[in-house]
Amino acid sequence: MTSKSSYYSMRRENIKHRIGMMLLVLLLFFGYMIWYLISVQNICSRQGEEIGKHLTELSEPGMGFGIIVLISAVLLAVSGFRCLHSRTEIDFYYSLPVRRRLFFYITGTNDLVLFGTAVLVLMLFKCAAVAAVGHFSMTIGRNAVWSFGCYLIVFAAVYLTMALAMILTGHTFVGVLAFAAIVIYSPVMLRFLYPGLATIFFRTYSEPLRGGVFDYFSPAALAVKLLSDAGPWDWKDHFLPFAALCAWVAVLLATDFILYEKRASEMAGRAVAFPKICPAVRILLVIPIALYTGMALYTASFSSFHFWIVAGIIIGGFLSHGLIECIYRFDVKGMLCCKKQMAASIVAALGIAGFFWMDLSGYDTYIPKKEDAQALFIDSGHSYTGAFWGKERKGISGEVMEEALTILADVVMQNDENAETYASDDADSSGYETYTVKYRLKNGREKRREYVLSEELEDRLLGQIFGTREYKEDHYSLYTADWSRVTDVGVVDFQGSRYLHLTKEQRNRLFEIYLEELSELTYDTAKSTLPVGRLAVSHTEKAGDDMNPESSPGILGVYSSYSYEIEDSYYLYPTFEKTIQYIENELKTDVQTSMEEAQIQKLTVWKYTGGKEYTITDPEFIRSIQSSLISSELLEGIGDYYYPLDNYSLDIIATAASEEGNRDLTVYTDADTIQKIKTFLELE
Amino acid sequence: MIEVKQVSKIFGTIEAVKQLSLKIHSQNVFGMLGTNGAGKSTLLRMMAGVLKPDAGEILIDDERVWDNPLVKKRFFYISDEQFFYPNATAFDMERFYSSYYRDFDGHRYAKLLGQFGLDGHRKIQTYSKGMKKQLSIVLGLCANVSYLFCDETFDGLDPVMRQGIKSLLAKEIDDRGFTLVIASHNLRELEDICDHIGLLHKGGVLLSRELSDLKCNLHKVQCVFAEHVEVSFYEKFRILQLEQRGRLISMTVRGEKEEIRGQMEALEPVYFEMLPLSLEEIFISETEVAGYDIKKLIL
Repeated sequence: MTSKSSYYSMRRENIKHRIGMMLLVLLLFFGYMIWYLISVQNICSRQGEEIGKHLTELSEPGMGFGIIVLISAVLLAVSGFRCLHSRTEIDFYYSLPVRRRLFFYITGTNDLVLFGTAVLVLMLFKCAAVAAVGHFSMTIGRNAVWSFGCYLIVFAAVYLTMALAMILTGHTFVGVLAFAAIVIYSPVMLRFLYPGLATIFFRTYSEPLRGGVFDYFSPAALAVKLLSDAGPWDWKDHFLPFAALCAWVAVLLATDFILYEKRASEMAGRAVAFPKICPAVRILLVIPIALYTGMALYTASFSSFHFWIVAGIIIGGFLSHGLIECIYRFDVKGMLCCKKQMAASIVAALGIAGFFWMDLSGYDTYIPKKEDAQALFIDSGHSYTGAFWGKERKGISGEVMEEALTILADVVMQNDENAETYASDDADSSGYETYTVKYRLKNGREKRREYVLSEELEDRLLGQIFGTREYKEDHYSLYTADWSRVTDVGVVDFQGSRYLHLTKEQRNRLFEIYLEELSELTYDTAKSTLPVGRLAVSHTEKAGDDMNPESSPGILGVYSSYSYEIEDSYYLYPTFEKTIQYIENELKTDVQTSMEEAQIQKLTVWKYTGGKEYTITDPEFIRSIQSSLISSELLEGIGDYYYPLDNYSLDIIATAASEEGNRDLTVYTDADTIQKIKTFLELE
Repeated sequence: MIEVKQVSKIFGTIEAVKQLSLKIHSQNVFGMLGTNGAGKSTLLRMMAGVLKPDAGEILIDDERVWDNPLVKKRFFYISDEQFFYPNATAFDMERFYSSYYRDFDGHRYAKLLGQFGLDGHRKIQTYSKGMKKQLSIVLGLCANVSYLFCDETFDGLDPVMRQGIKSLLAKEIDDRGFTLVIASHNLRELEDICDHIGLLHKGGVLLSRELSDLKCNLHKVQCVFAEHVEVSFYEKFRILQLEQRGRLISMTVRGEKEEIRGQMEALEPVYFEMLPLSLEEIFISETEVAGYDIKKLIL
């Protein structure tokens, strides 16, 4: 139907017509090339570093160039399909003796070929640059091929999404807004909706932010998922997002093509090219926006007054509906149009909020039946399980779990009252503690809840579970961890920290003795006894395993270190005699189990009387209480909540003489000693 | 031949074209007249395959126009605001169009550009509105197609150029016998070039007739009677428009000239005269009958 000359003429004119935008894209590529060269040079100039490793990192697909891919896709799609929004251009193109679909085909293929060629050249350039410094390897070559594939599929997905937005609309500004809506709807608007509402309305809500599945409904979010990786590029880790992007490209291609064919030419210049979809789009946008507005007002009000949510939903629903209608009509009078639909959207949003408010799903009162539960994972707010590096946590099961469930039933019953007391400024909340409980069910599902426990409930619960091996294995990584990952072991007492230079055998023996004694530790002992020191155990952690900032990649995804060290604390209680003896006798390192021997020069105390500072220098008084003091340096990490600490005792500084001169130590003490200090200072 | 069969086009709630049927014979100059919003441009855009009719069909030489490149090769559409590529020159556009229209006459194109004083190497975006119009017409003529669709093409042309273009089109019709469809609301522009008129109003066709027939069938009659005339007097004629000032009666009457003259003479007026109607007067009369009172807009 279309002659070759027409076809090539159309292709040529399509390029000429958009040459500015294409040059801009190529300029971005050129800028990246310069940056890449500088990076290669910087890496090569580093002495004593693994140049090859860093260059390999640099050759991996990453968000650095990914951003350029996203920008290129958006720019090219906007410039390619902008003509759909101009009546004069529509008249011009569609009156030409060619099929309409040819414009779609030519624009799409022109952009894909341009981008593909540019990326191919870039990959060759990157390989050549690395080869020029003598570090080219098969891994780098393979990374270049993966990069080419990843960038191409990301480009295609984002390009077709932007094209879809342009086809659906009749105005470029509205097209860009539609693209933003498509891109963020699932990974942002939907993802945070449930956690937001649940956080406000459910007292026991404590789910970590998940929702990776929401990324799969947005090509741009998927692109970020595919290209974001702090660790070494492993194809297996990226197969799923890559496959999902391929599926997206297929779906978008078909959708774009069908809609392009169906798109009415007269819609050029209008806001929306398919007016029939407007009601659905309005509802889909207005309901979450109204809910977010409600949540925003609620969060802004320190009073935590739930009616702010209702007000926010009404205001947000009205404004967002009106704004969408104004954009649709290009007329500010649109604010008050489609009142019934606006009211329906607001009512729907109120209904959703009401569902959460009234807890119709019974979220807060949930507790699994004993026969349905498989295991329990109980962590306090102070638990350090985020850095757990042992084998997979198994939780508490069997009879102990059933007993714990009985106690948790009481916890659930008292939770509202306890939570209010805990949150209240007026009441004394010092005896209350938050606990996160994860129920693993036999059907494979898991449910998490956060409870506030009074001291009595806490004692009941921990008294039941603390002594069990399962609980300790869940909380102390050393039980199940791979000890070969341990890089350093130190001992910390009030004198400071000292590294223990251990052989493998010594390390293993130390841990065996320590864990043997830790297994014997009861809740009562842990609660009533101050530790005399701690073991500081450092181990390697792979970057990206947790939220540690050190694990995040460097700027534009390069120079990241793949592993880093993290330190755990394991307390030495006075009852851990075998461990202390082993350290002192076999490892030849003293452990100062008490501050009794410390040469404390003075105690600085304040806050007891509204911020006034007191200094105690009486040696006799100091000597009488110094055995009850414990350095705050000891109480780090796991388990500090077991100790009978008085919040006010944090404001005691002991100045002690040491070999390096005087040291200031923040110290804790018990309630009796606090009373003695107050009496001595004649504060009461 | 172009056949428009029961074509409708709705824009939202506005029915731009309502079940419109029309035949435009080959080698005709068809003037598409109509009030603003009558649906002229919409119909022309549908004929050019830009818009898809919601109902009905448009055939050119018995083939559907919509998304049919073979049919589209037979016409050239000049919109009211023709698009040219930014930075393109007239010769660039020649190269572009000649790849779509095989019979594009490059020699004639260069010659006509010279005749119109258009610099083919100059960027079109530096042309005036009138120059762009001229260029569009030159491109359309040199495409050597069977049908040329022009939407408000004479707007923006100065009177001398307008006459020049008209002469060129007339010569082209004589030499080549192609079909020209011109949509305009400017009656005077069409009067001396069209041989067939289609009058559109509110999305429908009020009339479609040979211009000569149209002029023959409508007459302006001025008469004065000695006495006050009875109602039965008006019933004798097919009056489209009537105006009475004192005893002077002015009427636009449909019918054969001789028949009207005979009827008037039989009534023995004091004074009686039959005047030729301009196309503008015909337009006003016909649209008034359809309920479109142009005077209300003017006054």
